Amino acid sequence: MVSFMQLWKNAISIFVCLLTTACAQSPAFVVRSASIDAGTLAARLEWHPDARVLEALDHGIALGFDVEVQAQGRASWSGRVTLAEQTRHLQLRFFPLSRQYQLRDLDRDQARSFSSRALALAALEDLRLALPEWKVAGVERYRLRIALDRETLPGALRLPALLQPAWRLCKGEYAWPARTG
Amino acid sequence: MRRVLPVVAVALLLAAALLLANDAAGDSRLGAWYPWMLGACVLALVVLLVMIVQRLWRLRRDLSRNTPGARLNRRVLLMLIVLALPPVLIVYAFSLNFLHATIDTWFNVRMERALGDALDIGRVYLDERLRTAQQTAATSAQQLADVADADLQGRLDGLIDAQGALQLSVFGADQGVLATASSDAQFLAPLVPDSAVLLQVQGAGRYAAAEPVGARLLLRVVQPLPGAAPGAARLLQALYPLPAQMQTLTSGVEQANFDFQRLKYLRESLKLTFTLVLTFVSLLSVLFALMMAFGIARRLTAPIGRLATATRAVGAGRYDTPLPIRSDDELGFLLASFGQMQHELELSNARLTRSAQETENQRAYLKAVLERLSAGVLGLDRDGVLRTSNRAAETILDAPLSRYRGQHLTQVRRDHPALAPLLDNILRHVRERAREWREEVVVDNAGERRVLMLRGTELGDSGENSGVVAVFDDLTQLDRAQRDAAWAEVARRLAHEVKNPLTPIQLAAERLRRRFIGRLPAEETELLDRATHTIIAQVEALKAMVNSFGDYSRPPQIDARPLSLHALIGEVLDLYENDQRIQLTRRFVPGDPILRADAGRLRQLLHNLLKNSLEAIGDVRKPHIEVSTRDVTENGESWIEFAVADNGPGLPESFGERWFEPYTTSKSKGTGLGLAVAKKIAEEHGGSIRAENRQGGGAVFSVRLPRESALERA
Repeated sequence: MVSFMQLWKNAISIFVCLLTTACAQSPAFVVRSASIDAGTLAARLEWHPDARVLEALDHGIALGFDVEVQAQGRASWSGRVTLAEQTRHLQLRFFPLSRQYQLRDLDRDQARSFSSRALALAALEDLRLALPEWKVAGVERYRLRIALDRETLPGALRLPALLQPAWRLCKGEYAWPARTG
Repeated sequence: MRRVLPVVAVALLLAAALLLANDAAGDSRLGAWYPWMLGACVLALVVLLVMIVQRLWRLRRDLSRNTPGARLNRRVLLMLIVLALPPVLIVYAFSLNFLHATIDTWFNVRMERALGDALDIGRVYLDERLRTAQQTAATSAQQLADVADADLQGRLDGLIDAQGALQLSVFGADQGVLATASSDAQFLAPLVPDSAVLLQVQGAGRYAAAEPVGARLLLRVVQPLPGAAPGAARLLQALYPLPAQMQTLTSGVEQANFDFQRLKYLRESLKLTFTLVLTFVSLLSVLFALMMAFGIARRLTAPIGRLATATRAVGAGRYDTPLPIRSDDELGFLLASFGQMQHELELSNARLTRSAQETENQRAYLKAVLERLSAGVLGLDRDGVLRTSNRAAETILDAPLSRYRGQHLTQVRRDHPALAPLLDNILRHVRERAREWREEVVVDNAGERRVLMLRGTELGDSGENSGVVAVFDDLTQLDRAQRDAAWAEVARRLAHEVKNPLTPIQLAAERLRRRFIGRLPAEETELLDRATHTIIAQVEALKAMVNSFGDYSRPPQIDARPLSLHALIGEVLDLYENDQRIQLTRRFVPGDPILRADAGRLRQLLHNLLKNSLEAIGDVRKPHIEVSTRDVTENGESWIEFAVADNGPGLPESFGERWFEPYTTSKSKGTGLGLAVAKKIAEEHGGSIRAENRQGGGAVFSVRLPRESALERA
């Protein structure tokens, strides 16, 4: 009987998830500003993660982030041409023994440790990433996209991450003109 | 496509379910394909559902159309579903229960507490080590407090080995590295304190924490060197390793705790994922079982459906329904047997049809024979009910016998009393159940006397065909012909036997007159004169009569030639034109009808008819005779008819065919041979004669002769 009850609960949960997925919600990531200066990307973000995401972080589940920066050219009927792009992978992780949160640049193998989650999140929101020098002409604007990388989540969490908005909406986007940036 | 699609869907669903299950268990290589796998699962489920709904709809349609085998198909399908569904559901429920229970058993309180305790021990140990590190770093800071920047490197090199540190670095006020020393090649580059570290240094006076660096856990202490003004202080950063054994132990404790906590958090997700996978697999099993049930039901019932179709066809009289035998089991044997039976039935039916056709042909032949028989045939059952009759019977009896089929013969007798002599005779024999009889019956019907030879025979002894058949021949013509022949013979003998002595009698009478008249006394002479005169006159009369008999008995020897009927009639009528006793009228058809006839015989015929009319008129005040001609077309043949009509008393009631026989007359005078000769002449010319009363009074005798159209003038 318990199994059947559980089955119903799960079924209802899936149904609710699907239903909530269909409903529009505001994204958890908001990019307030961004600029590229001397080969360094500086972005001010706001991330309001769901409690379930934070709970996962505190339970040792590493959160991966994809930071995609694009240099785009003139707009045409098929959209803007991407002249150059760079994708960086960040990871936020909690270490229970040392009670440290670590923000790691996986591409450069650089890590910063924080004694509290707030500091770690603040570090993430004040994002600074060294970018390779782009020698391309005709760049009109830059675009920054940051999103939670659900593929790095544990297998068991992938299905809820696919269905639950708390995980689905962890992404933000920002574009700015090349001259003023 | 219809067969491949379910297999593909099932394979897809199974593969996707397996991948999802593996992925949920920790294999994360398929992360990028996760939505696709899920979509494939849903798509496969939808495909299977659509196919099942399609099959259900088809089954419903077959049921509504009463397609053979549809109901059996439904029954077998329901049985298979009842057989397949409960085990799947039970296994699903138990698996789900087992799965959830198993996942729950991973997390017992004691293990969690033990892991928590181990973690706390590790933290206590780390704190202790961190305090030691802080003291050591503080000591080093004291020693470096007064050292100039240029000398720092040398002092650090000296201190690093003494303190067992991995790295010692001194940063200036601008966060620049003033000096750094490392005992491990991996830590040659100093870790630059970030803003968070500096903030804590400013707030708490130092920063001390165990930090994971790479795969190792290091103790990091950052504190300002004493003696400097706030804001311009130099910072000493010291990195201390944990002992190798403790490094392994703490790492193990952390990893175990980390895994446990992660698993604890993922417990519900695991349950959800595994439930979903299990649901997918169960749905796959159910849907696949349904698909298989449809296939098995169809396979099982298809031969029976074909059998039902063939049975219906056989019931409708068609034996050509193909029954392909695709199995060697009992169903195959049944189909083979039915096919053989169908073949036998087809042969039997063909034989039956042939036999029926032959019977029908025979019946039609018999009917045709019956219809063409000149003899009348009546078929009756044992009770005297009329079952059949032929056309000749209707013609001879002048009664619509076909209307009386199914009715008792007494009904015919009631409606046609003139047929009583015949019908009574038949009914009597039916009542007496006579096996055979033969009698001559005379029937007077509508003033016509018919002599019938009736023969009857019993049909069978019992059963439907038992009854009586009565056959009768019309002997009237034969009888008449026989009488005509007899009269002709009489006439011939009379002519021969009577005519010969007449001449001697006449000569003897004339000799007596010549010899004795004038020689005897007057009285006797007168007597002799009267007597001889009478003898001579009567002899003349006898001669005339004998001549008439001679005419009648003379064999038909006509000299037929084309002649104009109107001209011939005109010649004869001219002889009567001056007769003051009668008014003669001619009424001829336009044109000049030509006949091929013997003119002399035809004149005699006309004379006989005119003479008959003159004798019949008798004492009528204004005697009137009309001679007319008219064209007649009957049965595709052309005739010319001439008629002699009078306004006399008309024909007697008893007038009939017999009146055309010799010595049949109503007049006191005459030989009684006039009409008989006229009839004979008409028949010699291929014609006929008939007599009837006129509407205004009087009689009319019509002679019909075949006309010679080709010779006619316009």
